[in-house]
Amino acid sequence: MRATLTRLGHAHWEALGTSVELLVTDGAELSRASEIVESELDAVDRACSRFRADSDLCRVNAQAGRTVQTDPLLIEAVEVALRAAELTGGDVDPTLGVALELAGYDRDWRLLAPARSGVAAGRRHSDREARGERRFDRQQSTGGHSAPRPRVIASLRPGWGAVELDRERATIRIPAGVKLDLGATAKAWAADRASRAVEAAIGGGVLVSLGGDISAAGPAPERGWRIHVTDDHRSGPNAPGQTIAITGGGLATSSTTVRRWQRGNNTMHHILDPATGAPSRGRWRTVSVAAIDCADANVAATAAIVRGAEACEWLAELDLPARLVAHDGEVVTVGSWPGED
Amino acid sequence: MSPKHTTARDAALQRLSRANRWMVAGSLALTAVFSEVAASAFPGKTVKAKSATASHKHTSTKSKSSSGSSSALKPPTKAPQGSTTPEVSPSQEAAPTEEHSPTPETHHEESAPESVPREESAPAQEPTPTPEPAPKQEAPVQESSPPVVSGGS
Repeated sequence: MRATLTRLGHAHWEALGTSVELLVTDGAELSRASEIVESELDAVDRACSRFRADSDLCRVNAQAGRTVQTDPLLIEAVEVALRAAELTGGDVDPTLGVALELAGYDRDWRLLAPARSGVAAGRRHSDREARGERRFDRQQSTGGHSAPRPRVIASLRPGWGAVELDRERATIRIPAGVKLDLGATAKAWAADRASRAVEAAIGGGVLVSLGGDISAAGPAPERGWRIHVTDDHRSGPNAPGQTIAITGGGLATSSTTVRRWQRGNNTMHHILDPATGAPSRGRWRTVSVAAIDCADANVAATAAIVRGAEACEWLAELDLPARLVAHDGEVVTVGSWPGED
Repeated sequence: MSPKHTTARDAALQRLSRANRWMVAGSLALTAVFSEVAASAFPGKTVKAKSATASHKHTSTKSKSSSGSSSALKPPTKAPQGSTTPEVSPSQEAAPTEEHSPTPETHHEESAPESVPREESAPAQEPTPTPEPAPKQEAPVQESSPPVVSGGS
């Protein structure tokens, strides 16, 4: 079913540390839809943020090793994250919170020192990092520059299988020393929640984009929801990439070219390979996937970055349409992803 | 020892042996019965993460919004289509040598296309100490307006 309206309502603002785009087929309902989305995102932020001291997630992380009663919303978010881990063989692991902190991602990424250069710098990393060991420079973590640099070598042992979740009692227990990070799944899941909530309340077509993780529900516009896939969601529609149209479900793009920061001499990014605890150095720099919903699309896109060269076969087996861009710019499409004209 | 005593002893040993076998068989059967009874009377509740899918299944009716009940990543009901709008869509993309401002620009939908991304190393690119959310902007737009951008975030 397609909507016949030609004027869409469009709002955009910032939430969850990223940009929010909301489109509705019935422009008259835009304000109401915005309130619904804001409410959903606020609830998700209070439950799942790693950077809010008062969030349920921070409370669970602070009490690692103990069973903690928590908001059912966090339970649901963790369930989604654990499902992602299970379906990707651990390639998307929510227990990488400590690894991310050791990599330097210990605050809102906009507060981190930006990467010095582009992709080339991102390829530099030591063998020690590749083994899952990290140099943790205390001076850098506190912003110091001149004093001698004491260093600590840390080994990383992520383990999503050790997370204990009891939905009925709304309790979580994570092993001591482990911290959850839901960054790989929560945003896409929140987009799905928001779009479904708007559709349920208003009934028209709706598209919610959280930092480029897109969820569409209800009847699409006449020509579908037009989406431009590229490296960075902050880019304009003229950035190198491809424009496609979807009529529903989810579309997500993961990329190693964004959320990059400088850590000593190394350029880091936010997609870690659980096998090493270090930023993924696979073949693909950007992967876009379409799926039944945004959560599935995002899980597949992130796992594809981690899997590297094996990703195409894996995506094809799952019948997931995908577009993969290699570090050298080569573009590969999988399944029913439309060709580039 | 007389043959009579030997025969009596052998007979007794045989009885003992039979009794032992029956006791072993009986204990195994009783163990099975007790296990079945206990499993029915006290159904276990798995809380380990690896069984999250299973535990989610019997509670999935509580939350329709979660996608956690499926056993595999699912493809879209309808495949994405190519857009007819002229685009820059090379089969070989340029490597991103520049990065954008940590604070995304907020602009009206009907304004001109976004400006060229600035050099990451430019002074203006320094991270903002306290990132402030941009004000929300709302507007009706034509269906032919620029597409929504999906990229890394």
